[in-house]
Amino acid sequence: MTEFDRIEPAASEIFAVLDELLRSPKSVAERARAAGDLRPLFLAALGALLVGAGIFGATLATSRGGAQLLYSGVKLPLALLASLLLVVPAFHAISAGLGRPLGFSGMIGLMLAAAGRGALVLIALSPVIWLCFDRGLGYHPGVLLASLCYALAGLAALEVVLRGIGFDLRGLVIVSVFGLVVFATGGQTAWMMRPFLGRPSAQHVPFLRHRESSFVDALAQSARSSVGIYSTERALERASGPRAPLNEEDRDESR
Amino acid sequence: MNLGDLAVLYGLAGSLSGALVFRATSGSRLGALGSAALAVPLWPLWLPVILSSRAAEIAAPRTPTTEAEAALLEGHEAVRNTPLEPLLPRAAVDRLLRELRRATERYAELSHLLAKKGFDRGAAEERVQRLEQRGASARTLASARLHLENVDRLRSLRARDKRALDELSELIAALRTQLVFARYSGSSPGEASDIVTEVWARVEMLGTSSDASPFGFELPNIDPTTCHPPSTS
Repeated sequence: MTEFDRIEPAASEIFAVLDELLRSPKSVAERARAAGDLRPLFLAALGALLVGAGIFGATLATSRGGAQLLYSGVKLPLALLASLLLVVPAFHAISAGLGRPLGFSGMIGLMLAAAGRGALVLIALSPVIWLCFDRGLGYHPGVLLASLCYALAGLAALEVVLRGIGFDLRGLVIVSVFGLVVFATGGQTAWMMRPFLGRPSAQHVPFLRHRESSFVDALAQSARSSVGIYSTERALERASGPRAPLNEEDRDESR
Repeated sequence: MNLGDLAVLYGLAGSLSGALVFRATSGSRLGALGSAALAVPLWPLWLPVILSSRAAEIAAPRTPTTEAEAALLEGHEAVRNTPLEPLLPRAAVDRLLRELRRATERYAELSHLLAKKGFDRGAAEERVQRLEQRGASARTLASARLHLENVDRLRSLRARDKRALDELSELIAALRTQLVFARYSGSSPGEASDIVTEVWARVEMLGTSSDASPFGFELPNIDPTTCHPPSTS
């Protein structure tokens, strides 16, 4: 028997960590900071992330149905995992640079625990999304509702991170700087993996859209759209003269 | 370098990490395969966790109890997936480990307590002698003697726990070798079964002594708000 076998986590321990993720973010943060055997925490948080984001992704796709259910159920966990892979080293560097060094494995445990807790909140919110789509919620209000759910899940995740880093001014600064990195990285990753909702009018459901512009371009375009400036419409007008205004779905195709 | 090149490099690093994890986890093949499979796509997250877990395990002090725990797990590993498994199933190992840890914690608490100044036997004895020489009142002397007796009782409890833990550790080590022997020789599990019975008996004894009041009688329930026993009226 090797060292690895001796520390092989029992399933009961993984379930205990899962319970902690929901009930006691403080204990989870302390467990990550202690940086002992983090495998139960890692496996529990990873499981929560895959299942939670998968269920939420599939629920989002109920507005479109069909293959989109499977695609979104697979893509949302992938987008979250890919973002985590990219941002953990940045979090480690920011935290150390701003005077709160934490071991790299502890940082991984903390981030995964936070993401796992957020994913569990997404599971809790899935019935709301499902009900709203079932009652006929449109595409754009659906996007807004999904954003609200992400924000709530993010707040639940933030609690774990703050408890791990420290609930003081320095901790808030670290988390704020890190938030900017997560916003840019996570946003671009999710942007590359669109669509998650799927357009009701689309004939064919693609797994991934063709690469076009970037998350930052989309944000800029959305900002212009919000004040009534539609670049697509203007381009069409320039190309073929004045025509009837595009419907709402076509204006926001890039979302 | 485009996204495809990055993916190839990432996959290459993942494969190397998977191979590293698999080689290091040679004990349980299934566990090693699972761990290696997880390392391929998630190596930037999984590899540091695996390495730090291993380092933490190596750095942990190897007390007699951790040796006994390791022996129990090795014993179970030896009979896993064999006809001998009912002798030491995983559920039994988990319960034994719990009891063992509980007894060890109790022993550590007692040791910690007896290392404090107020529990020093020499000082308690000296105080009794001083009070006797000074001609203190009978009640004061009785209290000082009771304190000395209690310290003695606690010391004997600690000595008993230490002895029980040592004997149990030796027994578990013998159980491990017996199970390994029974597995490879194909002999009857009779002796191993006897040892398992003996281990359970000792664990039960440890549990009994842990549950018993150190004063030899049950203390009354004290109401924390009034510091008095609950009223019977």
